[in-house]
Amino acid sequence: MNCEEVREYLLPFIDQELNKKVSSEIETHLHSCPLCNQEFKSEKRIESAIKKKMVRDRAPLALRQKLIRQIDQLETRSSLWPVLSSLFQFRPKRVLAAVAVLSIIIGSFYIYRTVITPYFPIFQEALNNHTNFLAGGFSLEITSSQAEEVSSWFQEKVDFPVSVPEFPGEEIELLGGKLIRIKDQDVVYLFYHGQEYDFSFLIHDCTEVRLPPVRSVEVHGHKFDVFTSQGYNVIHLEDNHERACTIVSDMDLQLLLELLSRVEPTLV
Amino acid sequence: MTRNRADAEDLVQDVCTRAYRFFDSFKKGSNAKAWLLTILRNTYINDFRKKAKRPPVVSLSKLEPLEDTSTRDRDFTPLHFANAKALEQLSSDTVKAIIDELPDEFKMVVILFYLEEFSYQEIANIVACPKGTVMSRLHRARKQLRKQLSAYAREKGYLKD
Repeated sequence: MNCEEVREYLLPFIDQELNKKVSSEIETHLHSCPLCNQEFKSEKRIESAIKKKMVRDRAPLALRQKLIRQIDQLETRSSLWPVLSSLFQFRPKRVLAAVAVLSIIIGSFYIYRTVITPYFPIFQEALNNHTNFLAGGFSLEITSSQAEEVSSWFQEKVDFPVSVPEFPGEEIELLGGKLIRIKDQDVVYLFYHGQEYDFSFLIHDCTEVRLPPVRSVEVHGHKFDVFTSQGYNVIHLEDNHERACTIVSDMDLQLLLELLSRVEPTLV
Repeated sequence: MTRNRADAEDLVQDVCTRAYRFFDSFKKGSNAKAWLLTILRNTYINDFRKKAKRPPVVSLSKLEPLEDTSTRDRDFTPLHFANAKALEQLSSDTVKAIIDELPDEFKMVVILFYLEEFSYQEIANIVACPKGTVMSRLHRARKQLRKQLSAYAREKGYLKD
């Protein structure tokens, strides 16, 4: 191969898109021709510079929320409707009777769950509060990035120890917090803003929580309950002293768990 | 692609709905991103066909620099380390703006290549054209990109004439 040919195939060569024969010919040439070699190095550097400059835009929040709602709708429609419609095509009377019986059973079970057994729907509530806050549904009562200041603000209001966590070196900034009530229980609501991810952080003393289908995940010896819904990960952890944290974020689950396991000792 | 944020958002919504409905057609183990982008391209084309009466928005000035049709033109602007260094000083926004200036078919290929880091063949599958077309588009787009980037760097004084 002469210089001209090599120059022509330099970029596909850098992209590793050439077959073995051609790329080994180019390699041989580059070893023997300092000019082409310099051109190769320069091209390679330009290529990697361009790649580094490419930034992925994040979809606007409003769009993300629209998508989540849309998929929720699809989910309810797709899971329920085909079953119902196929049933109603045959023997409508029997189906109606069955539906009536079923709804009585489900209804009474629901009443039993809500009225008789005490539970704390922290997963759903944490998620609701997170999306509600992002949508501008409420504002924070204290805005400060100083964990200590926020801790002492809450400490006067609730009767469980509050230590607002910090994430040193993570570019995650505390925006502030608000005292919220879930099922007549005080809950410390904190909001953190990261460069790419947002976090809601709830601290409470309710360990009698109702668990949706959760997974238990262990990372570096720390145990977390994980629940994923609407594109958010909800992580729950408790200590023996009746204090718990629930975290909601759109951060990748693995990264989130890594992050939490690093600061875990300070959480509960 | 749509050159308009509202259209882009609608498109993304449509794509998500379709992807959700046709998730069965996704082959486990294959590239999910490529699959989604293929749906995106199809949705865009279908939608665009529906709105065929709408005149396409094409800016002539943007097409001009690429009017030469030879795909194997060898006159890459001479490149040296200085260019790479100058390029490293440019901001992401600048690079983005320059890529935005490329005509659609080149922009798509450039984004799929540099940002998503797909191979030529994968890009060909996504934009539904032969691999050779991807190669020539990429070649021309890169040439154009280098020209614009070094022009900008020169303007900024990162690069001496």
